[in-house]
Amino acid sequence: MYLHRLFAALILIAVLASASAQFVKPIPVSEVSGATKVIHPYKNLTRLIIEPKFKYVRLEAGEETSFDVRIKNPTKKDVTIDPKIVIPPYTERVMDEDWIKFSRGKFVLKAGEEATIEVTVKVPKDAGKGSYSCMIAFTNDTFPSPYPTETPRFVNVLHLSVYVWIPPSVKIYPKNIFKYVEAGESYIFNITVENTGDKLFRLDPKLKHEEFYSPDTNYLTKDMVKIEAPSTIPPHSKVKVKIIVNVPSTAKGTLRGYIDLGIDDPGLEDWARRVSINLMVYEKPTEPFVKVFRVENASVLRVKVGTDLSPNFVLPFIAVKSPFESKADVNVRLISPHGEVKVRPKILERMIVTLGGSNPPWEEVEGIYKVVSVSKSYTFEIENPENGVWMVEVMPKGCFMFNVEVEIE
Amino acid sequence: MRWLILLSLLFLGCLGHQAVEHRANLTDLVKSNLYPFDGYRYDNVSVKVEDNKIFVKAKCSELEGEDDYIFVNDNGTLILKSYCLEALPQALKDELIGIALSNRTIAENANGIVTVRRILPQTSAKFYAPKELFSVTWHGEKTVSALIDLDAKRVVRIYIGS
Repeated sequence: MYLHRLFAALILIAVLASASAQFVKPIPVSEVSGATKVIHPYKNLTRLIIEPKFKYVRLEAGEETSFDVRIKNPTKKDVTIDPKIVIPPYTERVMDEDWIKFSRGKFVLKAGEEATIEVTVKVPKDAGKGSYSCMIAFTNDTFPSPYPTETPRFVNVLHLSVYVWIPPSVKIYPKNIFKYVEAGESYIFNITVENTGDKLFRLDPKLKHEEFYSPDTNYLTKDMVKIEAPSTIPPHSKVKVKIIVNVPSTAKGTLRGYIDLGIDDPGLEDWARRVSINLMVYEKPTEPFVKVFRVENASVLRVKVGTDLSPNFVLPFIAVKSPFESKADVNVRLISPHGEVKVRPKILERMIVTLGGSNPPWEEVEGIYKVVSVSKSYTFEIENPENGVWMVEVMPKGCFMFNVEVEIE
Repeated sequence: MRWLILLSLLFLGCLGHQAVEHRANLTDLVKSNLYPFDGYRYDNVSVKVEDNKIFVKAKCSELEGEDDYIFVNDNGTLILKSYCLEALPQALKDELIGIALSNRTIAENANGIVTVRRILPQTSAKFYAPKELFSVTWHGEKTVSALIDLDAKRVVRIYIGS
């Protein structure tokens, strides 16, 4: 009996196995692994590893400098290295081939080996100021082009940029003015212009502005700005440029512009002749904030007013904690149904101090204590306050935000 | 005996004078190695020497905040070890916070107290270019920081740490 059942079970297993073998379609290996097809049209090009691939040098006319270029041959065949200078067609200033010299000429770099070539850049004395660029091609390999071209695209190249400059004689400071201002007020900014050179320079300041894409930006106009400056800066001397800004009473947002000092020092770039002005206009309240509340049959009244905000408060817009965060304070008056109540408040000053350690890597602040937040709060406590309408008046000083808590027990 | 005491006093006096002179020279050397913001001048500089370390606190009456430096005196050579430069115009700080928040990653992660610090070219060179940059950092549950190039008005590096 048992033998019959065992035999029947074996037959069933065999039938099922045969059926599954018929219905399960074998899957090709490529479909299972998801292998990616690779298209590599430039596979046959000889590619070397060039370090650095880009080099920038700043030199005065008549100066020279040198740097090393490492060439590695990761291929399995020997490669002929023959450094040459390639001037791109789009460059405005063209450097002469005499500017660049190589420590080694044509040589064979064996498979798997590396070599170093010293490149010397020498700028002739009569070279004009500006940017010059070229490529240094180390082999003759070029990318194939589907159409005829006069400028071959070399494969193994270093891009070299040479900036010929003239050290400036004139220093300007400060170059940036950032200030909170009140509408209707006037402000004076003194700029120092120092001539450290032996030549006299002219000075011709003018108000200008650049487009700035911000919804609250307005531009300073000539009727708002008056500039007082001498017309020359004698050698080895300092002069003052006085910028007087009259902020209109209708001004809003940020007033931007810059003073192009018009100094004819050839060493100063256009952007370096400027003093940028950024004035953030704010409206200071003249009346205190008033909170009215009713007290009925209370045993204790507690009023807390402070400049402290939760450390986890997300700053959704810029000026929420400014200006003058550390000087932020409030004047508080507590008024009962029968007039001002003179109660000495409990004062709590809170500081948050940071140390190095959790700072980003570019802040080298190890060992320095830094107070990052100071806040002050005043708590008034009155036992058995009289019934009726009470008021708390708050006048902020140097802050854009404060908090008020009224607790009636 | 009296002569001996007198000579000793003179010798000690000379040593004291040399120490004061050395201290004055060191203070002058330190002051010439400070970097106030954009041509401003420090009105108040305090220098404290402890062993081979020199702690400097510098303030400019026209600017909010204080600049701190720690130098190490390595056999007469001053090495700037740490610095924290927060003496900046408040409106510039707000401008920089605005630039930092214009970066989406920063805006989505910024939380907590914010600090704005100046980064000197020798440090900036390691992260971007050898020029003065600014670091806007939020100290909350995470440290979120933007390194800013003010000339280009853009965030050049981001750091989000624990």
